[in-house]
Formats: sequence, C-alpha cells, structure tokens
Amino acid sequence: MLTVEQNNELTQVGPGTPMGELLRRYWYPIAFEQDFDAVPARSVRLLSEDWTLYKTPSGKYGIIQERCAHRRASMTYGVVHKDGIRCGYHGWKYDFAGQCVEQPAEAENQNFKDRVTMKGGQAQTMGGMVWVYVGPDPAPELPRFDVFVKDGIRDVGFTTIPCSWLQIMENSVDPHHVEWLHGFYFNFVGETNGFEAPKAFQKKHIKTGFDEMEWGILKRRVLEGSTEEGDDWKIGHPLVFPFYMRVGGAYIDQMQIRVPIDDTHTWKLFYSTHNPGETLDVQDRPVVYEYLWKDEEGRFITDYIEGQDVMAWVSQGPITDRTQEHLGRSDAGVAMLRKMFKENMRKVAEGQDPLGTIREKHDIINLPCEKDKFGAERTFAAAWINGGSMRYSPIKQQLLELHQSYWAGIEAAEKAGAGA
Amino acid sequence: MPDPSAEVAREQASAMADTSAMADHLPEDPHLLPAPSEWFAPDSERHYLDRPRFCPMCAASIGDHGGITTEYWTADTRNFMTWCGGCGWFGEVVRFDRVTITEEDH
Repeated sequence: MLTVEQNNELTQVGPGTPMGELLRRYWYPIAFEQDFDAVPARSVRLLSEDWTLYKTPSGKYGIIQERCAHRRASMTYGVVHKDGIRCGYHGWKYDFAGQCVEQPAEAENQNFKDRVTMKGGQAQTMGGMVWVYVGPDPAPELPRFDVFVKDGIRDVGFTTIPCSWLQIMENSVDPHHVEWLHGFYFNFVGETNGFEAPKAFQKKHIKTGFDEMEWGILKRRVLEGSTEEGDDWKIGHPLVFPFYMRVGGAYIDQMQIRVPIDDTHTWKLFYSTHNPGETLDVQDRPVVYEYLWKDEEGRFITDYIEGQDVMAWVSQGPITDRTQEHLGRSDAGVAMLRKMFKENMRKVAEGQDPLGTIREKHDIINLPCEKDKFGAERTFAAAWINGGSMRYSPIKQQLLELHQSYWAGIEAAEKAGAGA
Repeated sequence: MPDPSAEVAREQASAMADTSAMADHLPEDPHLLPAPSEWFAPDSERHYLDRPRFCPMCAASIGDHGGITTEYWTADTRNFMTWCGGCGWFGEVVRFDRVTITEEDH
C-alpha cells in the first residue's frame, strides 16, 4: 500500500516530474526500421510528449518535438533534409539538435532564428529498431543487450496497452503470478475451452529470491520438483531497470520491453531471438507483428500467456490505485522495485547517473538468464511459441520446426549414445 | 531555580501529546486519501497514519529525504518495507499486536 503522493510520483512520466526526469536518462526503441520504408517521418509519443521521428535520405535518424515552434504545425509533414527537417507550413528549418537554422520569411540580418530551439534528441538503430534518447546531454551509450545483437532468427511482437508501464514492471518482480495466472488460470481456461494448457507453468513456487544487481533486480525461483541447483535459482533472470525484463529458455532469448508512451499507455514488445542451431541465416530485419489481446466482443483474449498478462495489467486500471492495494509477503519484490525507482530518482536529482547508465563503448552486454526454464527443457520452446504471443508470428511454423529439428537431433544422439 | 527534571518531563509529555495527536487524526489535507465511502478507505487511512515517518537508523524524515515505505501484511502483522533517502538504510519496520514465536525444528 502507498499514499496518493507516492503513487503519483511513481507513475507520472511527463517532463519535470521526478519519474519523468529519471526515465529521460535512458534510450527507448520507438519504431521499426521498416516503418520508414514508405514515409520519411512519423509521429511518436514518448514520456507524455509528442515527437516527430524522421529519417534523412542518407539513412540518419533524428527526433524533434512534433509542434513547430513558429505556429505549432506538425513537423511530421515537414521536408526532411540531410542535415535536419523543415516545417511544411512556413519552411522553418531545424538541425538535429533542434536549433532553428532557417526562417525563410524573416529578414536574414537578425538573430531571431538563433533564439529558437525546439526540444530534440538523438536517434540510432539497433536490432532493427529505431532507438531515441530525449534526455539531457551528454547522452549515455545505447546499451547493446545480448538479445538485440546476437545471432539468431528474430521476431518481435508488439502492441499498445492502455495502462501505466509501472504496472507491467511490477509484474516482472511478482514470480507467483506465473503459477496462478499462467498455471492455474490457464488450466481453467483450457478446461473451459477444450484444450490442454502447458504444464510447465503450473508448478508450485517453493522459494523466490531477489538480488539487486548492476542492471536491475535478479529474480530467482525454486519450483516444485526442482532444487537450488536448477537454472531457475542458480542463474535466474533479471528485471533490467527501468523498463525491460530479460527472459529465456530452450534457446529462445527474449527481451520484454515496456516503453512508457505516457502515464496511461505503454508500447509493449516481445523481442525474441531463436538460436538452437549454428547455421542460421541472419535476417536483415526482424519479423514484426502485432499480437491481439481483445476479441471482437471486446473481451480480453486469455487463452495464451501474454494475453493473460495484458488482462491483469489493463484490468488494474489505467493507473492502478495503490492506496487500495493489499500487498502480502509474496509482493516483496514489488516493494523492492519501488524502492529502486525512488533511489534512482534521488540520484538523478543529485546530478548522478542512475542505475543501468553505460558510458563506455561496448560490443555486447550479456545478461544472466536460465537455459532450462521451469525444468521443462526440450518441451519449453514449443509450449512458449504455441502458448505465448509468438503464436501470432507470421513465422510461427518456421520457428516450431527450427526448435523441433534441434531437439530431434539431440534425442537421436542420446539414443545412439544409449545404444552404444 | 527551575527544576530541570520537571522541564524534561514537560517536554516529554508535550512530545507524547503530539505523537498521540498524530496517530489519531487525519492529516490536514484529506483529499490525499480515498473518500471515506471507499471500501478500503480505513486501510489507507491507517497506512497514512502508521507508516514510519523517520529512519530507524539516522532519524531523517523519510518523506523529506525522498525515501519510500511500502506496506505489506503477514497475517496480523503489518510490515513497512522502508528505504531512507538520507542514509540509504533499507529494511522493515514491523507493527504487530502480539509477539509470536515460531519454534525452529529441533
């Protein structure tokens, strides 16, 4: 339970708010490269502000606040140049930093343009997505987390969810929900609708643990039938502060991304890399698709894992009222995350870099993540693809065959070894 | 000459009266709490009134130093997971009506 002020402070992401200032210290994916195949500029909303994201003819990306400083027309319908963007209404031109450099209808012998600077940011690509930084200079390095840069077949499911990103982050430090929402409830939905829900998610939690680490909070669990020697405890997987969770298992590596569009909307992505073999063709761009979470009648679609999550997050309300919650001992991770946010708001207020800021050049950041998920080993990949948002992937069948082929090879080798 | 011990006693009595008032009355701005008609309003009210206000380690104000207290319940026990922005202390302040001892295996 929190007070109203605490709940407001933790959920307001606009400029000038403590959480908004903290969140402006990080890079966010905000579009896919293919979004710019047909148009040079798009409107995007991030951290309660409207922006124009554009791509120059030479392939460089820029981001600038959407409304022109002159008469507030949208820059998204402007003219993109190699060194900036020009408003379509009266031709005011801005460079990548947002500085006005031309005002065609104004006299040249005055300094009016020098006095006009729009909010701008930095943009670059990684893993087929366009990432932006809209915080104060100097920008940190874009963190090259393993899932985005390692080899493999990549597919990305996305949707926009009408609730605070914090609700989704708190879900990441709530291990018990897996056993209930994706286990017991999934089983109920399966019995009601005549299908068999995956067993791997139904195992009872014996023990959970949370360790603060350099990238966030490492989450561990011991499930019924396993021990502390199992991957789920020995390795675990991290909530990556402040808006990701790294998960994986059975040669699927996934980063779950929660981009705070504004206080009550979140762009939610599941970025997966599949690599059970060694001779995979590298894609130019990941396969991207929207996953569904409501049916034609407006009911939540709850017969798959992420649909169940969306039901829980959205039904909590656009911003859940934490003055009305009743936390228990199993919610210790949630309390710990809130403390981590407060701690880092304070760091930012004091002029320090918050957790997860990286300023050194690097090739890859490897994150800890279990390989044998829930003790399910070879059955896990198919259960995840069929029972998760990847069921909406246009390459679902290819992914299933990729994993089945790998495990068939392992089983053949095991049989040969047993017979030798 | 005034009696120093009497002065201390008066200060203590005054402090206790302040503490008592703090625990029994709602803050001046009740709009920060759910409306009394809300089902869980009494829980929110007790949370607002009972959460630790000062760090157990350095005595800094939790609110003024950017700290946070999140309350969770274990049976009848109310646990306040608390982080102090002043000294960085992170731990729990526990409020209970009865001290219960669970015997370890032996």
